[in-house]
Amino acid sequence: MKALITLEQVVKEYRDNGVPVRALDGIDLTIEPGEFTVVAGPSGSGKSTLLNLIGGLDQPTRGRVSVAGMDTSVLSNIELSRMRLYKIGFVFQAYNLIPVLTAYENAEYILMLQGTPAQKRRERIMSLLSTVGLKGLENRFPRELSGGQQQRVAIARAIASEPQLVLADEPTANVDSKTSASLLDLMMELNRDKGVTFLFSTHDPAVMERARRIIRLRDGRIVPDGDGPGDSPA
Amino acid sequence: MLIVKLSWRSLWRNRRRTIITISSIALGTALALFLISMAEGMYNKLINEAVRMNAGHVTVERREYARAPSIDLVVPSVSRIETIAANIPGLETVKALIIGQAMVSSASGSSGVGLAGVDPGIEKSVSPLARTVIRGRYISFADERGVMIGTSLAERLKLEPGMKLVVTVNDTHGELANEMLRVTGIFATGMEEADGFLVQVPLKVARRIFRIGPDEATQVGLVLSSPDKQEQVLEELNALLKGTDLAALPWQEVMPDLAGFMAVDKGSNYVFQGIIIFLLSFTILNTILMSVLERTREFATLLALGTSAFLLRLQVIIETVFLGLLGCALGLGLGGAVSWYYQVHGLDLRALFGDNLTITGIAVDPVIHNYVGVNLVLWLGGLVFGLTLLIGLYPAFKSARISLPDVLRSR
Repeated sequence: MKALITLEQVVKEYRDNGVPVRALDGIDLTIEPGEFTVVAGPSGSGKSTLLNLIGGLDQPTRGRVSVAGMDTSVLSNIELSRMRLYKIGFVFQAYNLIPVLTAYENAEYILMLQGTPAQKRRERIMSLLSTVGLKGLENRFPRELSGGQQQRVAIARAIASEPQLVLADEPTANVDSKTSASLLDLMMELNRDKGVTFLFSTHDPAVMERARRIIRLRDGRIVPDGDGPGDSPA
Repeated sequence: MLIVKLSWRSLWRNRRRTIITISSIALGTALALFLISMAEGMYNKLINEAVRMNAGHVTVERREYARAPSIDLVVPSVSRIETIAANIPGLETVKALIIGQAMVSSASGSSGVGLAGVDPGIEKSVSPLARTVIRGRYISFADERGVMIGTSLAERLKLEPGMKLVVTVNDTHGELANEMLRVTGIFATGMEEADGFLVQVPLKVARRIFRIGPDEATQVGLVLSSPDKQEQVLEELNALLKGTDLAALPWQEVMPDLAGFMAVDKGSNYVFQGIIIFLLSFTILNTILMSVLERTREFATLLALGTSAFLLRLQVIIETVFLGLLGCALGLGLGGAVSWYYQVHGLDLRALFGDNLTITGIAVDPVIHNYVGVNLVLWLGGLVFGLTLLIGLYPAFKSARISLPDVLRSR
């Protein structure tokens, strides 16, 4: 099977108050389609930086990042934007919903950008919101939803266009353990039923327990690359 | 469509700020519209009074006359000009004038004056001077020796209606000529130049005194029903007068002082309006920029989700368009309504200027009627809206210049 994500000798350096910091130091990584993988590590280990590079939100200082066969370092901003739009879904720790759009409109946003016909959009979003347990809450604005409900909307938004990859940066960090478990169930179900590849960053042991593969980062380097104790692969 | 929805809702995210900004645009636009329309109304009135009292919107005279006015530089056939002008659409009336220098004397003294030979019938219906007779009556066609004098001249020479005065002139043959006339009436325009130094006589009397032919005059003025037709009339007349030593001139060339005053006044008025709009532009810039800066995280999210920088900038521009449209529409509506009210009812400035308001020697009714033209509304609306859009470009440009990892990482 052709790898969905490939990182070769990726180094990322940036300056923090003028001091050079190496956030990632020679990362080699391959992720296959359909994986449900967690990137774990303490704060500052480079988890978010790794996800940003894979998501095309940032460029490596050295090395090569390839997503769905595309080398992100040679893509223009417009091409990167299109890659994110068509290939990747994002779930953020702080949900990052658009406050002036309803739950339905937030989930619909990417489909509208992709030019999906209205009828098809409606069917898909209504079905998705039902799947993530938000039936009846479609017309609520983010401020009218709980943290868990907002993150469900964010997940619905991320998978609405059926991307090949969902990148989730600490998606359960701002919700209670019950909601966290329920969100993980949801994402695992989507992984199993729709074959969506999930890549999380987290330092929550409860999330790590459910992962099928854990990539541990420390000081910008991968420590081991082992299988997690979660469900069997899809 | 979602972008439009997003822009509209984002605009009302900070309702108070948006209302204040729209109100600022609206008030600035309304104020500018009111002041400009008031100035336009005053200019229209000024032009109207001046051209009617003097030589019309368009004046036909000898080509050399404007450079060196002389009594012997006459239009040789007034009736021909009247015939030509009769076919021009938009003509209200044609008035022949004889303008010369004279000395008037009474038993109490003498004074240098401008002597104007006018057609009393036409002048009475057209010229504001004929409406300012305070004693006696206005001259008529039948008056063989009638003369109108101003109130200041009457005081200096101690003259009253019915009393005699002697007019002395240099006629077209270069000879000194004098004639005894009788005061028919005294006018009070409120302008010292007219009240103290202008006398009016019937055209035939002026022709007799200056020894000018019966179909001759120094100027033939065309009063138009609308000043907008001036350019067209000038073109047509000059085409017809081609090959003669006559020229059709706009009032701006015949009365350069008035035209100069209006140009300067208009200029300073526009500078003042420009300052208002310039200050207004900072309010707009501040609102849009603040709105953009406080949404960097949201913009970063939109970019991360695959929104193009162009679309994001378009969203900010659409917000600006909404601000500009709402502000302009309200401002033009408010300013237009107030200006329209004063266009119909007039703005009474007598408390400020008294009954006699004169501008560059022209008496103007102190009740000013605004003039709100479609062109002014479109021009001002376009200017404010265009400026709003222009101001929105910088925040729009800035909205997509975000370091995504930095903004998305921040809590």
